Amino acid sequence: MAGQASEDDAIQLNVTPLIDIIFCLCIFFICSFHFKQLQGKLDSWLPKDKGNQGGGPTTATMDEIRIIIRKSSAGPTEINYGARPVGTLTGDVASDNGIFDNLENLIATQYEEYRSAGKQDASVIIDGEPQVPWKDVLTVLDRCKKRNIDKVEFAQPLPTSVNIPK
Amino acid sequence: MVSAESSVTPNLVPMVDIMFLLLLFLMVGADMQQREREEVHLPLATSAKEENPNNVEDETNRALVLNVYHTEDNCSGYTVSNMCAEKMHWSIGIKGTDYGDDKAAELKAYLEGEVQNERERRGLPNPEAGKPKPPSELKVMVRADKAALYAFVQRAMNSCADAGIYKIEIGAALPMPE
Repeated sequence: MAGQASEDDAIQLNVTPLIDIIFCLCIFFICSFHFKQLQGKLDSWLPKDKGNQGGGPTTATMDEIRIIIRKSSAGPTEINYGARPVGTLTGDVASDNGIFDNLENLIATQYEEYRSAGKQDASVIIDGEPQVPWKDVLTVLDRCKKRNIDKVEFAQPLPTSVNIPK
Repeated sequence: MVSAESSVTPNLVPMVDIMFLLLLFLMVGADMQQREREEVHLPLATSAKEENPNNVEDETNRALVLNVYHTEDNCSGYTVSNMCAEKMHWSIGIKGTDYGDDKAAELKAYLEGEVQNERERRGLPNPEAGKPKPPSELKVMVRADKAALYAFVQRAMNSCADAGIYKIEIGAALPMPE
């Protein structure tokens, strides 16, 4: 009869709704997709100090290299190598990199001297004021790690409840 | 010959194949796992060691992740000048739980609990009552936003020190490979 489908006719699959569903899924995943930030880590320590002191900062020892990061009265961050000023960060990339390069050389030179003298306990202590930017503190840590200095600590008062093994 | 009256029907099957491939790519690239790591814009460090948070070499050496992140949406300091000094805009997050400035005691209690868990995991004896606690071998990774002040990170570190944690890893962004 006319109009009846014969056995030889192929069955046509309607793919249009399938494409719609796939489009919706693609839009969902595109909206939720983002490139991950490459992340790394820098090892550091809180002070396992030479005494069981609570409250104030520990006394300086001869085998430590202390980097003091503080805010100047004018606002910019000052970097000091012990009592010696190294420079003031201005925000200019080239100038700031120069200051960090100087600091890095000072730290590396002193650290090598300590190691050559057999002082295996030599450490670099990063002593920052609370109002300095964290990224500046991290840059100092990064520069220490760049010179393969393992023992880098953050200056901090120790709680009285912790027993320090010798 | 094609007559003027016959319609041209586009073949949609290759398009479906392409859409499937695209979908597969996006599904593989999507990360639906609940993360310990809040959205933190880490500062750059060229000397940072690359790490894969999903690859734990040794379960006993896995670090507890502590995030210092900005919580306020409409903060001009954070969005414009990349520096926010407002203490109330910053929070410490561990596994999705916020520990704001007013939750120092809870944070300390949580860290002490983790220290105790670590001690039990390593089979170490409990510290004797009345005697100072020994320092813990638990590692803590501190992921602090680049717009934070050192004071906010110090708060996190002080909490760790109070709990007897002295091993710290600092999270940093790696520069993009050239």
